[in-house]
Amino acid sequence: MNKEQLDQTLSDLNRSVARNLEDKERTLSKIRLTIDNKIPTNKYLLKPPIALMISAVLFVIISISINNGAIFRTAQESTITDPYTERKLEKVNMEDGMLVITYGSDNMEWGDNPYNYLSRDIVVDPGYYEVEKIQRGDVVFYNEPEAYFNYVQEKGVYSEDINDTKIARIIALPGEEIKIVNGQIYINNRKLDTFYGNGTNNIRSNDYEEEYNMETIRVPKGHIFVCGDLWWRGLDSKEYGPIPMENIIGKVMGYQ
Amino acid sequence: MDWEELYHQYSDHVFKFIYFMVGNKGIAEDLTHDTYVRVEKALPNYRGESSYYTWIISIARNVTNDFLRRRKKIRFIPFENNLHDLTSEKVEERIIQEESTLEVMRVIHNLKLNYRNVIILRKIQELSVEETAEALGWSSSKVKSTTYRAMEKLRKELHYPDNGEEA
Repeated sequence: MNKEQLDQTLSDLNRSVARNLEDKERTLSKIRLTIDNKIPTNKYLLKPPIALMISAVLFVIISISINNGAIFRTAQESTITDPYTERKLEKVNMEDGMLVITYGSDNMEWGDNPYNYLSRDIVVDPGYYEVEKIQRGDVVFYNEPEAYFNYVQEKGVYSEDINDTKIARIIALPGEEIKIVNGQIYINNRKLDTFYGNGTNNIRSNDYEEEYNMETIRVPKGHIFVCGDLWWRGLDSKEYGPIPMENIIGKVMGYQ
Repeated sequence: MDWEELYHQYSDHVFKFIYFMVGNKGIAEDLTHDTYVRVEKALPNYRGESSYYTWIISIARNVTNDFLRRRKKIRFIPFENNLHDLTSEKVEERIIQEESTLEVMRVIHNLKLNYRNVIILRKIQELSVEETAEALGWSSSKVKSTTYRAMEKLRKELHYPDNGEEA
């Protein structure tokens, strides 16, 4: 379900629920009774011990059925997909409590015009990961780690924008193994079948991306592997390895 | 306005808000009752700082959140599988509508209370940002950012039912 469909489903929900007129009248009478007589009603709660026992059993049954028996599933899927992440940034109308930055690198560009990230006012939510978990596909605003500066020095690489901060996409999560074979990313030996999983998907990609290989790296606990959407622009975890999660400043929400 | 007029005018909306929070019409009626008992008691102190409707919704929200927190250990709330009030004529369309609508409802019921509150008020009942802020006692910007996060979470859960990585 995309965003428009979801919005439509939610507003349809309001119209789809009807209140029973008899129930409405009955509740009104109950309210009158309560107010006049101060009668505590609504004994729908079972006595705690019995309720807990019944609910514990029901909870197990229901969570198994909701997960469609996931805990009994043995065969692993061979690819990883991500139908949730959308490629383009959306316009957002939010300022207070958010960070607004003007972004100077095209490491996330796909050849769209107008640009998604470059030269735009990008809205970053600095509190997002205080309440939500990181997710593969998230685009994050972060401080370049020491590894970046070491890499630049060591390799004598000219980096157009030796900034302290960068935007890139989370590709691999703590504990995962990532490798790149002929431009295709594999996570724990499973093909990352997403728009950001292959360096050749980007129309602005370098011809050589289909020969790009990276040996298996294990992402340490508390770290993430980030990568720009345009592989040959800017340096990221492909060059200097996974970055610590503390370096994340916030999640990119959209542009203004 | 006396409480009975407030009941005739707003109780359907209040009922729906509670129903979307708890997923069960019987419980929603009971909590609507509890809400209006409180409304009647609090009416003398109402100073008209917010509209009647957002004032009553804020009471309903407290009543409902308290109820859901008390029942936190008891996760099972009898969830109704009969949204027969859907307006589609064609049977097939209705079945598909019902399924995806049920799925959305199921996921909403797994969201934390703040997210649930804001999705119901902003996205289902389509109150304005200001009305929602009044009803929840939040700033407008908190409403906007929480709505964004809640919708992201909702979409995530719809696509990834078993989501969750160790941070």
